[in-house]
Amino acid sequence: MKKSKLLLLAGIGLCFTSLVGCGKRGGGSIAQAGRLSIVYYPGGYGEEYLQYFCQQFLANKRGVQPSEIVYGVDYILEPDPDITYDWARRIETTTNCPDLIISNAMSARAVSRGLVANLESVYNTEVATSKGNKKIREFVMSEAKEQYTYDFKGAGKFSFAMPWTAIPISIAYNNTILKKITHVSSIPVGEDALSNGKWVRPPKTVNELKAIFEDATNYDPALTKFGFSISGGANWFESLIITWWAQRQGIDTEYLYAGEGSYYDFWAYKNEEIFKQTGIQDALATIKDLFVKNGQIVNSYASVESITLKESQQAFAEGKALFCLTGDFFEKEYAEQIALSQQDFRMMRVPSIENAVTKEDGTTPIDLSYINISSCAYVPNKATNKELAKEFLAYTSSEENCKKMSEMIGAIRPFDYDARTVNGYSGLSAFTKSVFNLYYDADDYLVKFPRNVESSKISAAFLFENASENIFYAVKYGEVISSLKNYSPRQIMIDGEDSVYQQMKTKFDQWRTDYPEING
Amino acid sequence: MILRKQVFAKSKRTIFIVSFLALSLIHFAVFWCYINFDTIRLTFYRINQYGEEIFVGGENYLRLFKDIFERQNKGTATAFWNSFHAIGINMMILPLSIFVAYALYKKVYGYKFFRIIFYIPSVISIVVLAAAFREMFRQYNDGYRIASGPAAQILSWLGINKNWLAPYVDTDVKWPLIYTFAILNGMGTNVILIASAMNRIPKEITEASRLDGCGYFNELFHVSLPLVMPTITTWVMMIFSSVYSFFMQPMLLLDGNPGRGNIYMTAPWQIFDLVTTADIKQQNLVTAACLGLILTMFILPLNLIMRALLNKFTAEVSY
Repeated sequence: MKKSKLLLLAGIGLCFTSLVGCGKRGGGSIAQAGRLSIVYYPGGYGEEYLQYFCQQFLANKRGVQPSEIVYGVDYILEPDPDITYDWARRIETTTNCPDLIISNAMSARAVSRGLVANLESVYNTEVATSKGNKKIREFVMSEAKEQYTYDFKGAGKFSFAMPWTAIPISIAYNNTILKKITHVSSIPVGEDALSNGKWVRPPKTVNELKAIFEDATNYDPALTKFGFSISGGANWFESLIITWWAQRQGIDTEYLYAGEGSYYDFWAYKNEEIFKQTGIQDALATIKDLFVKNGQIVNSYASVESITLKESQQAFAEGKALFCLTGDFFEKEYAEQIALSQQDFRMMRVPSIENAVTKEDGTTPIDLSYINISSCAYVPNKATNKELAKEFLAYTSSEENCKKMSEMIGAIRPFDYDARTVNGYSGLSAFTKSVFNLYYDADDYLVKFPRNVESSKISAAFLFENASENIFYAVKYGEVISSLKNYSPRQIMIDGEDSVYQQMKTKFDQWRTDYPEING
Repeated sequence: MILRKQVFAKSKRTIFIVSFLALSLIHFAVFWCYINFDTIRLTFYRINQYGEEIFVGGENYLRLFKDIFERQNKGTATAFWNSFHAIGINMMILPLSIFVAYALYKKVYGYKFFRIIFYIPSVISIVVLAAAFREMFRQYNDGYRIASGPAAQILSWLGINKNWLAPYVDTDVKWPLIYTFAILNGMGTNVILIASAMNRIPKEITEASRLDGCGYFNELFHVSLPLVMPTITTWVMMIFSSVYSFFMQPMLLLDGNPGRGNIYMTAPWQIFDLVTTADIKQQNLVTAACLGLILTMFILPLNLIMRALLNKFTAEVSY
């Protein structure tokens, strides 16, 4: 009897402890009054710069030395690789809700459900800039600001997130190898591209890119010309597709194809007809021309379907490929491999397609940079130190601090300043400088967001269905690129049985029910 | 004093019984009543982007019926019908399991070793098994990293070169590989179950059949199988239920890539995807609930018919 009672008690005890265990995850809550807590997506920028800004901000606020600000007591940082997709769990609860989240993406659903704080007061804060004091809303890149300003039912129009970084996604090249390559191809290239028959600058046009592929084969048949991966969701193909598509379709206004709308009209996301834009097919045709031969992917890794995005970039960092699709984070993320390979890496603009939108002279193709502006910072409504987090956001948005961040991590903040004027510019790497040039020398930016559209007019489908995550929405990039082996761009986009258009038609039919306010 | 003791003992007994029953009743109320009723209730609502529930009657069902049966949403339709591959897989597992179980029962050479081999997949996580299987068919050859899984290598020596499990490459070998994996993964438990049932057959019966001149095959079909029929009947009933849970094998094997137009996806996999994204898009929970119930509408009658048929055509066995 005693034994059974003991067993019963032990059982109840176990149940109780397991319940307690369920209630407390990860050994305690990050939320604590008076302590600034930040959850961030651990990309290539590291944590050091966040520590610096937390210390500077809190020291400034409290009138003490930064060295007196203690990690864990005054502020706490938590890298969370799942925060991009797992934000709801994190901000719906008060028990483990951080004061600030810096993430790769944010969903309008979080705002429509009242989970995210109104940041109007932050945007109205004046900060010091080289052009005098300005409200943050006047200092920030307009597309980036608009992305986080919606007109929500009942709540009115307000801004709910602060753009964090503007990431130029483009092509990186190995300058060490490039300079050793002799031009032997019959494809003509610009005179300034060569010196003594060798390449001295990266290709500026698609034809030059084809030429350097041939030249690279002649230089070393084993060298991978263009490193990329089609095995996962993200692969940065969007930088090629978007640039070539916009160059043919027209950026704000129609260019080659009348009646189809421009690149930015696409993002108004009115109906499925937008997927019929011929510019998208032109971009895919160019990719096919460069990377597909006899039903196989060429000019890249032999097992391009198996290699991961990370591996493809890593191989490039090891000096095993001439070009690679990547972003400004490349240098920090693969610092170890770069140090070992001792190669000189740079970023270049996506070469322009023939018959591209031109500058005012009518002949020179316009310089376009695709910028990923999905990285942002937001304050959950259930945060313990909401006001502190807002003050931190305002603090980091001054020109001085934007520059400091650029200097520390080589990233650009989407604000009206030139990162090339930072104090330590001369000490920055050639790669970082090339990234800055890519951004600041562009004639126009391409972002995945409707331009010149009032926030109340933005399609509900665009807002609430993460439409900007992937151009083809229902079909992953990898699938589209892989399909180029067997199908024409038109079949993939419009005519094929499972074409992007057909799949998007199904989606839009559904969205017209889900969002009665949807256009089209 | 005695009366007080009796009352105390009685109340102690009542508390003891209630405390045990309470646990089951709470479990039943929460995990059966609440979940099922709320699931059914949810299917009649639409949850909009503001988190508001709007009553829409049968609209969700209508949409899914059109998606599946009129193929208005090919992806959903394909995933739904793919779920029935589970029946095919289990139909293949059944005879194989019987054959292997009989071999183990008859103590073939090395039967102890084979018993462990067949049982191992049942005690190892399917995640690990899928990863191991994927590695067997993995093929790398990209200049800087050349490696082939053992299976891919052997098949390559035999002149069969395929892009076995590469994502986004829709090949005709992926479904056969899913079948192979699911069969290998699913056989273990069945072999053990059927072999255990066979081991319970009285030796006198098998000895008598031997004396009557029964060979191994005659013994299997005319003695052993009829005697383990209740076990097999139960298992056959579960064949149809396996449709509900058929998603881990393709999902893990293909690294979560359902293929263009969902050609490798199943309805349970789709439900899994919908539920895991429901904290962001709550309407997904409604779609998942509807899809689950439509699947039940299909499987339940099949289950009932099969049960009736099995009850009719299989004799009661006791020994």
